[in-house]
Amino acid sequence: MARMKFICDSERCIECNSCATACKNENEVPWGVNRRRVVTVNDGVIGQEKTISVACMHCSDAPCMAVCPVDCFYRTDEGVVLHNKDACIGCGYCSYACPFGAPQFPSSGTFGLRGKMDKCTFCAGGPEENGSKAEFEKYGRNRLAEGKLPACAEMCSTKALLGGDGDVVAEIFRTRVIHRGKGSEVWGWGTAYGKSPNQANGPEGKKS
Amino acid sequence: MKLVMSIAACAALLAGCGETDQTKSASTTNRGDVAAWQGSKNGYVTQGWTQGNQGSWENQIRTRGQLQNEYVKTN
Repeated sequence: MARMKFICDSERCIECNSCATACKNENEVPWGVNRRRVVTVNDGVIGQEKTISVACMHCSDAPCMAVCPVDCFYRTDEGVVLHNKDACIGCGYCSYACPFGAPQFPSSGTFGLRGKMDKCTFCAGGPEENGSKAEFEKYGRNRLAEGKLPACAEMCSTKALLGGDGDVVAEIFRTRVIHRGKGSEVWGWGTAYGKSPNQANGPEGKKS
Repeated sequence: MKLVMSIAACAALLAGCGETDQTKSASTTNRGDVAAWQGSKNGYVTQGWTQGNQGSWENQIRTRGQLQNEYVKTN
């Protein structure tokens, strides 16, 4: 059984924002909602500046699922955390619980009213029929059902962002680390999945 | 009769001490979703796998995942 995961390699990310652009375009995400964004840490500090692409990591033990008062989240057999917009009441609890700031809320309502939560779906749509118009309008494209991987990862020009079966992407990353001899830390992997990809597949590596 | 009543009262009291299972998993949550391996009824499905076949879909995802591995392409 495939277990879908993201890895962002901070040694490779060049802050081009093509992942965010690809996501916006593929899913026709509304203005003001950013399912994926590029974050720079230690900005301007020579030798320490790192850039990472952040979105929902589809955590193994997702805190958003735990706090949702209307139980609108569900996890697919592939480990993708999705939600039902028909059940969401836009309370924002998931936003406070998420360590990655993934849940987004359109603010087009009257008096700044928060709309229904929107987040990265790993390009897996939602509860509606796979590939249907209703699914696209609510959740965006269902690329997984088309035999594809998330648009952000597939569009990444330097392949800093890897997405897909956890075993496959961890092995790709591990091979990279062995070849370059550095940069084994993966931002957010430990928080989302409990251990680093190198710990999962080999003896070396540091905890993120 | 008293005995039956007292047993029923005890059972009701003990039942109040129980706890319902709050575990979150794919089987216990309100998922009405169809698995990705079932495929999609639009014109954008890639070639090389059979819709509705889980093994075929998983192979497709693994193969496609390797397109992100430039070491396979260059070495």
